[in-house]
Amino acid sequence: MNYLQESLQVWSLENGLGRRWDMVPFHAGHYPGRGTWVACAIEATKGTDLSSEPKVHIAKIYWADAGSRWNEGDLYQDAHGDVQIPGLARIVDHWKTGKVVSGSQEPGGLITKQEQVCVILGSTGHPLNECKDVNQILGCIFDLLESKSNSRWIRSSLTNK
Amino acid sequence: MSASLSIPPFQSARELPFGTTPVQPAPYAALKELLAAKAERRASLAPHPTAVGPDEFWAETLETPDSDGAAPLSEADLATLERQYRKLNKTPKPSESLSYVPVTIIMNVLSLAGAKARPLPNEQVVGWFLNPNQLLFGDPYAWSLKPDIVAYLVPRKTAEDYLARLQSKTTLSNLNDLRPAWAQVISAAELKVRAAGQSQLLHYLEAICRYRPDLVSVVAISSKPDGYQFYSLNAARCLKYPDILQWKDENTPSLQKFIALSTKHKDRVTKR
Repeated sequence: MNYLQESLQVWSLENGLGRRWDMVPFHAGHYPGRGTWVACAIEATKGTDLSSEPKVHIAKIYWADAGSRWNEGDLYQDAHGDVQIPGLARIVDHWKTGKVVSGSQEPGGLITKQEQVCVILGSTGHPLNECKDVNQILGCIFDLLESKSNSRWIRSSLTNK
Repeated sequence: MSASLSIPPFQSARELPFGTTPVQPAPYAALKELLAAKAERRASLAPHPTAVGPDEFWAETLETPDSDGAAPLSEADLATLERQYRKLNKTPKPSESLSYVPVTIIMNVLSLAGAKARPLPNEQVVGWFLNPNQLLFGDPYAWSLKPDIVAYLVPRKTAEDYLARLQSKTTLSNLNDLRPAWAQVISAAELKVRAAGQSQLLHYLEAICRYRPDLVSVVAISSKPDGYQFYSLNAARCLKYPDILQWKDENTPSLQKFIALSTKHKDRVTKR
């Protein structure tokens, strides 16, 4: 990850597969902890068409438990599947940066490890805990079922029943 | 040994009318307490340093430096260090502002010697610069902090010139003109003569971690009336060196290890 010294604080990061993102941060979380670093990002991969207005994405870089069964990027992809769910953040790119730190030794002798993860989101989601009443939650469930009603996911679920 | 087990008689669950829930409340208080304790341990809002043994400190911090790889120091370097140590150990102790220059000279001498033994890419070295009374550039999170000494990568010539200026000039206004942006800083030092500088230094450490997502771990040094101490911070832990080391020749190897750690980060600062 490289810092590009300009009037704004601009960082450039490659995903390891040649895809590059330029980012301007606007939030950073606490340490020790996840230290979630949030930035506006535009794609700066070689050969990207720069003739039109670039699409602005949200980049998140944070430290997560290396032993975790799930990672955020895969969860988003699995949730959307072949049909996009309205209101749920859309994933554009996600990868592990390769940086790992060892934590303290737990009482059972286990040493936790934290690894750095980068997630690029194409849209932001609306947290369910911001729903004001039951109607809004039901609306979200309706949107989910409606978007999935024709998808393989719901058909296979129903067939299995 | 025989154990008699008393098995409670079977009782069928009380039938509840449709649409009602059992009256016993869920253990929310206990759950909240458990979650709070876990959250505090994982992501405490203020870093609380844990003192660990020297081996653990060096091993856990960033990357393990070569234990026997201390950069050789020239006669001139040793003489300079001795002179600065003497100034810092004067009785009565020098005021905070009078300890700025000797500490900055020591850090730069060791950093230049280290870079000579293990050159960094593009002829760069980690320069240590005085900046006790100015806010650093590029502070979008508005932390408004002023570390006494900041370290960042500069061309070797810049660090050499600055060291020469430190040795000839003593006016602070002539020496604090190389103020970096927060996103360039890789380490910092806080000097205190009468009070302990730990809490201030921990803020600097956290600020560097937050402004430098490319660094795995950050180290910094706190100078106190009775000596100096190393600190490190990363996503998992905040550590402090177990001992307060005195500004003396015998502790130079530890200081060299610290310099080597602050230098060992993989990503380069580039200018477009």
